Amino acid sequence: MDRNSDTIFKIENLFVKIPTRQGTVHAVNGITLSIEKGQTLGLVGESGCGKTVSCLTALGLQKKHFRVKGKTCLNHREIHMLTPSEKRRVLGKQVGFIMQNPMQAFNPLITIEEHFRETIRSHKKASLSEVRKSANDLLQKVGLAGYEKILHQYPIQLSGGMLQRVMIALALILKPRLLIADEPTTALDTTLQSQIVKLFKKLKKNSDISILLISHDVDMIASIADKISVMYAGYIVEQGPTEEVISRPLHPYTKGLLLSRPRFSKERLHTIPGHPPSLLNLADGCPFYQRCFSSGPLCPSFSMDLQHCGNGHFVSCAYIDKSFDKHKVQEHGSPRDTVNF
Amino acid sequence: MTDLKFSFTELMQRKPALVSLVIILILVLGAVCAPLLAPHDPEYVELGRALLRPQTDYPLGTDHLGRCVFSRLLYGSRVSLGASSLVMICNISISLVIGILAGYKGGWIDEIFMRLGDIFLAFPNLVLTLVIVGMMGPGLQNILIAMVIAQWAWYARIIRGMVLSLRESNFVLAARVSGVPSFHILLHHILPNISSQVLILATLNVGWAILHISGFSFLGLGIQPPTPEWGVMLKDSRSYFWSDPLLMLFPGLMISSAVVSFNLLGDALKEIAGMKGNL
Repeated sequence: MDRNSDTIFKIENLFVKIPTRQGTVHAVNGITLSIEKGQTLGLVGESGCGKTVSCLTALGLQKKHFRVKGKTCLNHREIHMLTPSEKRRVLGKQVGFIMQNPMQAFNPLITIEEHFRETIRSHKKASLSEVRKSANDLLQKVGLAGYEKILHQYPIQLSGGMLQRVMIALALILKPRLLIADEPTTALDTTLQSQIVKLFKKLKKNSDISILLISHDVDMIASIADKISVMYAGYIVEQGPTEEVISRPLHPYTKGLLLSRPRFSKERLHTIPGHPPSLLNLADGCPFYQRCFSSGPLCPSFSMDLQHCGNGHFVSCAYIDKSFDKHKVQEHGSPRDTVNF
Repeated sequence: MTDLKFSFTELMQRKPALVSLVIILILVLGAVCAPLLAPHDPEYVELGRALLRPQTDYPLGTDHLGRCVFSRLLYGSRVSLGASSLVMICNISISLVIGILAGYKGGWIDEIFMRLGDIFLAFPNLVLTLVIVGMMGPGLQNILIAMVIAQWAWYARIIRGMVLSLRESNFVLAARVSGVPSFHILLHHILPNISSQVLILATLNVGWAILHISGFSFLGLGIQPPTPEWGVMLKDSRSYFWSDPLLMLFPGLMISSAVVSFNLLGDALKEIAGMKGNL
C-alpha cells in the first residue's frame, strides 16, 4: 500500500471477533482500507457482512466484549492509542458519523436544536445564537425547507428523510475532515435517496472532505465513490477505482453483485445461488467458495490475500479470470449511464 | 418505550387514580397542617378521660391514656408519610446512582455492585431488616437505615436493566459518535428516558415504606411509644380490641388507605406509561 501523506483515514489489518455462546463470530477478517484527502471510498457488501462493525470498531466504539486486532489511523494518529478523552475530542470534531437508522438515532425527549447544541458544545464553547446560526446554515444547505421551525421540533415530528438530512447536518456541523456515512439512504424512499445522493455529490464538489460511504447499493456507491471496496463475510474481496471495478469486476462475488442489480429490462434478474455463510466459526479459505461458479480445488485453502491486477485494482480470488463477462456487463451499460440520480 | 410523557389529564380520567390522588393530598395536607388542625396535644395524657367514644370534643375519641385519637392520627401521618418519603428518596437516589453507573459503565463496576446486590437480594427483605434493626437497636433512624440497606439492590437492579437497554440504543451511540462526554450522555440521554419509570418505582416504594414502618413500629422496633405513629397506635390499642374496637379501626384505616392509594397511583402511572410486567 502506498504511504501517501494525504491519507486521512486508514484501517490496517482489522480483525473483529465476537465471542458468543454458540462460538466465535468472525465479523471482520483483516480488512485494510485507506482514504485520502478529498476522496470518497465506497464500501459495498450485503447486510451482515461486517461493514458497520468495521467502521464502529475502527473508531473505537465497539462493544466491550468484542475482540479487536488491527490498527486505525486518523490523520496519522492511531485511534486505539488515544486516551478516552482524546478520542472523544476527535469524534464529531474530525470525524462525522451518519448513523444507519435515522428514526432511532435521535433522543425522543429533546428537540433537534438540543441535539445540535450538545454536539457543538461537546467540542467548543458556543452561545445559543451561534449554535442556532450554524445549525440553520447547515440545515439550509441540506435542503430542509422551513428550517427555523425544525430546530424546535422533536425527532418524532419529523419524517425519516428529514431526520436523515438533519443527521447529515449534525455530522457536518463541526466541519470534520472525514465523514463516515453508514447506509445513508437505506431507510429512505427513492426520491429522497436521490436527493441525498445529490447532497453528497455537492458536498464532495464544494469541499475537500473525505467520505467513507457504506452501502449495499452498488449503483448509489458507483455514482459517488472514487474508489470501491467490496466486502463479503468480513473480507474485502475486491478493491479498486470505481470505473475499474464496475467495468472489469474480477471477483466472482462482485460479478454476481453487478449482475443482480435491477435493470429496466424484461430479463430475469440474475441471483447469486445459495446464502452468505454464517460468520460463526467461519472456516479457513474463501467464504464465497460454495456459491461461486468458478471455484476450484484451491478455494477451500485460499488465504484471501489481495493481489494486485494492475490499475490499482486488487482482488482476492484463487482463480482470477480476467476475460469473464466484459461484454456481459457492457451489454447492460455501465451503471453511470443507467442510473441518473 | 422511551418517549413516555405522563399527561395529567390522562391520569385524571382514571377513577382509582383520581380518588387515590385526592386521598394522598388530604393526608399530606393533614400532615402539614397538623398543629393547626389537631384539637389537642397528641402526647397529653389525661387518665380521667381514657377510652372515650367519639364526641364533639374528641372527634375520634380517646385512647387508653386519654389522648386524643384524632390529634394522634394527624401527627402520626407526619411521621409515617415523612419517614416513608425519606426512605423512598434515599432508596431511589442510591439505586439511581448505582444502577446508572453499573448499567452504563459495565465491567468491574457493574460486577461489584451487582454481586453485592445479589448478596442483599439473597435474604428475604423482612428478615434482613429485622437483623439490621436487631444489631443497631430499635428506633426510627435505625429502621430507616435498615430499610434502605434492604431495598436498594432491588431498585438498582431494575434501573440498571433500563439503562442497559438504553445504552445500546442508537441515539446513545449517535451521541458517543459525535463526541459527547459520558457524563452528559448520562444526564441528558439516559436519565430523562428512565425518569418516568423511576417515578412509578418511587410511588410504589412509598406505599411499601409506609406499610413497613408501621409494621416495625407495631412490633416495637420502630418508633417508640410516646411519639404518635399509626403502627404504634395500632399496637397500643390491641389490648382494647374487644371493648373498644374503634380504637384499632382508625389507625388501621389510615395505614391501608395510604398504602392502597400510593399503590393505585403507581399502577395507574404504570398503565399510562404502558409498562408491562410487575415491578
